[in-house]
Amino acid sequence: MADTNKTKSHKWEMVIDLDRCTGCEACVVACHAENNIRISGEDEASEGRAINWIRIERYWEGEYPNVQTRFMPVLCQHCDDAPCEPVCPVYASYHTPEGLNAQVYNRCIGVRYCGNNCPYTARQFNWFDPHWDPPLEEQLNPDVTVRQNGIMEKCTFCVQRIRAGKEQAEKEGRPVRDGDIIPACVQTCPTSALVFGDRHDPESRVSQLARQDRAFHLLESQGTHPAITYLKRIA
Amino acid sequence: MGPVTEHEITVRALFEPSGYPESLVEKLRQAGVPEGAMEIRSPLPLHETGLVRPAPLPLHRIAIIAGLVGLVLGVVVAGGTAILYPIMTGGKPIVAPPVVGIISFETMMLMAIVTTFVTMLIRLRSERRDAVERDPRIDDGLIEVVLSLPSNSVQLQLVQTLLKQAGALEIRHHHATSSIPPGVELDRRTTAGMLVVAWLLCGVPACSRDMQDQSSYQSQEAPRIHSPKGSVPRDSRLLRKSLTTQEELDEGARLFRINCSHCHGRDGTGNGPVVAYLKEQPADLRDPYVQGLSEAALYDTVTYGLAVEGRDVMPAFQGELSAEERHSVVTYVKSLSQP
Amino acid sequence: MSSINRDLLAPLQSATPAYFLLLIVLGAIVALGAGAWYYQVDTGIGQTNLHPPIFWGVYIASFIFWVGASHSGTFISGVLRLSKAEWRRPVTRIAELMTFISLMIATLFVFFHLGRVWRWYYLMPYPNQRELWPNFRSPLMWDAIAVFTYATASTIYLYLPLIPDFALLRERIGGWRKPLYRVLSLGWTGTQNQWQVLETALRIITPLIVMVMVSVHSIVGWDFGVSLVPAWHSTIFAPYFVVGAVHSGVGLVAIGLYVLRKIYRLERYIESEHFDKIGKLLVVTTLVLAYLYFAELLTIWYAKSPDHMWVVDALLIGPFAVPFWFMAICIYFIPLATLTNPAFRRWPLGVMLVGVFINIGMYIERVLILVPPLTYPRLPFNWGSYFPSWVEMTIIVGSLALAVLLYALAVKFVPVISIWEEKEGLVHGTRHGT
Repeated sequence: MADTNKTKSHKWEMVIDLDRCTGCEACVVACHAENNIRISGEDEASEGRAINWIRIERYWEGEYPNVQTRFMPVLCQHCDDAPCEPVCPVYASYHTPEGLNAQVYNRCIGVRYCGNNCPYTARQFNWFDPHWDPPLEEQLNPDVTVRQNGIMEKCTFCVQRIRAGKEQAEKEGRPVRDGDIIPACVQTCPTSALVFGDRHDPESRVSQLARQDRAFHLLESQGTHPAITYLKRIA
Repeated sequence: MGPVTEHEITVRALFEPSGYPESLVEKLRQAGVPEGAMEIRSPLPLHETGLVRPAPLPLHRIAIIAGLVGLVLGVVVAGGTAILYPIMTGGKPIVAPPVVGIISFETMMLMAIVTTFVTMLIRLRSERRDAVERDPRIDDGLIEVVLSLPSNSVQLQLVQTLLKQAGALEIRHHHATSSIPPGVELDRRTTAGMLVVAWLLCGVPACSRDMQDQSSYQSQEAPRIHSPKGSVPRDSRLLRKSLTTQEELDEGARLFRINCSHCHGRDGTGNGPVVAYLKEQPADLRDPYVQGLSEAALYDTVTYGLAVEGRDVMPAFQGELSAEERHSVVTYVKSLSQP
Repeated sequence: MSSINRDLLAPLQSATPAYFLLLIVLGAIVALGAGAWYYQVDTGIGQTNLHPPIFWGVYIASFIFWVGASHSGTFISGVLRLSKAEWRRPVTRIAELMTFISLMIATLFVFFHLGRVWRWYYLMPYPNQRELWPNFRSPLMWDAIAVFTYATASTIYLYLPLIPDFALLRERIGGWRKPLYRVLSLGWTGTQNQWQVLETALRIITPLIVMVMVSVHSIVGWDFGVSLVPAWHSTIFAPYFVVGAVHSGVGLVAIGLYVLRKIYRLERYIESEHFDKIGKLLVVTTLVLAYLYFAELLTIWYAKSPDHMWVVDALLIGPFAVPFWFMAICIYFIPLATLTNPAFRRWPLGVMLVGVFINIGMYIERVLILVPPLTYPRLPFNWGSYFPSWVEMTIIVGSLALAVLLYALAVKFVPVISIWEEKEGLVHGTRHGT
């Protein structure tokens, strides 16, 4: 009875246009709000333990005095050949059929090998139980697990939104359309530097952008085949 | 060596290791003492000839066979179970040959070593254990020859002469008794005590219930979670306007009878025929609380089921009913409020 | 032979007030460590100083160190038994006990390290209602299986030559230990049959456990070698770890030999010849280790791949230079400068002190294998730094105290020198006139 409208498989990918990124960090805030990311505070941040699923890295182009600051949002690259996945002894980190690099929180026992083996340092660990100062605990997203002390977490491509989008499509009896599913960071980006979509659909925006000749992948030489394509004009 | 019967007598002779004649055993054999009735006890292994021929024990062969069994076991565990549990992890095949090799090497070694040890244990335990206590002087370097002979036989005299000739320091007779020596009972109690302690240690892993209520073990399954305290409900999933047509209501009623009525009752009051056997009372669907829930909330409950304090009290119907069908059931449940 | 009995049973029969004082002091330190661990489990693994990108710290370094220390017993005892070296006799038991105890301590560090230690049983492959199964593709699972195999095998290997000694103890020692010895001696009476079975079993298990020993530390090396982390991803790690483990293990045996000889006046059994032999072994392991270290650094330095060079620069001239060169002095220069001198090798205190330096150096070396590569990930935005917190240090000191405590208790329960093997040596000696 179930699955009356079986659609073809998806492959979720993202394109980040570095030429458009202004480094405003709206995506970081949106991600915190959407995904119940714990508030770390100054102390933990100074110890390097602030959890950000997406972070803005800074680098400089040109020689003084013609220096320009450039920004690069870095998040979990959802690699096809993810180095973090096979090293997990309990399958907490695994690859979903839709190309997501999934982290199952209640399987994780916190050996932290995945964190070491991620060349992008995209994985974050819960060193303590989470805590929100009032009234922030009133805004928790009911669709996202609150992660406990002792486990790994990282960007999920807002898997709850992907699921909601697919359920909606199922209710309406139609395939998922391009633009139906938007992660929080993509939704909030004021310059539309982030684009999300189904790479199996050749007409989707993400597929069209990823085919551009400005495209590159982060640490491409590592052979991890990331699902995130960066766009950058070479000056 | 077989068990000592009441008609047997044990002869024990002590020798200096330097004075122990290697021809003694051969002479005893000629005197008609069976191989199994002779025993030589020493404080360290003796490798000289003229000793009792021990019963053969194919320990090498057992170790090799056990190693091969371990190898197969390793292949099955590392390779076979991976096929049964085919979860993709980045870039590695489900069954990775080098990994299977490493794991089966370890299991091969484990099986070979443990089986050798266990076989050895069994062999040691099968020795006659109710034998007379060992002479403590053995540990100071003496060698003891122990013979079990039928009592009042002529052989006894002959054997004694032979032992004397061989230069025994001391010859003692011992009438076999069938009573169990006092140590054995103690042995059993100590063993039982050790096993109980080991068993208790196995129970040490604590039982915490952290994040228990979100068991999502299928890929991309919805978390079976109740909203965290203080969270804001979202209605956005309900896009469909509820068009309560009679047709849909009838379909909902039909599906309700098939899937729901055995617990919630035909009228939805929660008095179905199986209720007597349930720990949790099914909800009365005409209750104002239930009727006050949004259609989206009811749809979620039908889709994902319901869990109270980590225990499933209502099954999920995601796999049983399509989205349309679940919807019609929700429509029907909503309609129950009108009397 | 009765003098061997008397000498070697003496440690089991008496205890001085100083011994009880030692137990109390060690017990107090262990209790501190246990308290620190409880605090860490209760509040969170954040009580360590770990933070991204350094997810592994001194717990894993200690795990490697203790697994390495456990190679003492297997290497000394196994390899020497295989080569029928006569001088092994007073050394084997001391080394095997070390193996057994070090492995227990090493296993503890896995638990100290886990983020959710109360879920440790997720690592065990057994059918369960969670429908979970461990991932055998993870090097950590290889590790778990290999350490389990090694622990089982080395327990058996410690126990086998103990059976005849337990039979002796059963008769010579009364009190609460007697029933235990009764059970553990398995009704051993010392018949030809039993000796033959025991010797055959030892002959089979000895080569197997040497192979397991090599595999265990290779796998610990592969935990790092198979990863993508710069300066971990290297083929040399497996042999390098094995040799390093033997290096620190043999050094530890030198310490153990010296201390037990001193306390229990075993000079008649543990002679300066034994320290001479151990000194020679240490020279060999030093040279092999130095060779492997050089090979690794040379290849990285020549290729000049920036990811790897960051790490090597940090070690040689950067922030890690002080511990690095201190380590090099401890594990390479000191052993080479001293132990190549035959007169020095016959000085027990000297060999013991070299053993101490080697073990301090090897511990630092384990930390330096772990931390600098993690400090310099490939994306340079996230470089970090790390020094252990007081919780980590308390746990490490507590577990060291636990190891010593277990050893102190063990010498009151088993003879520190294998009595029957010593007797066998005596007989061999008189027979063959050596």
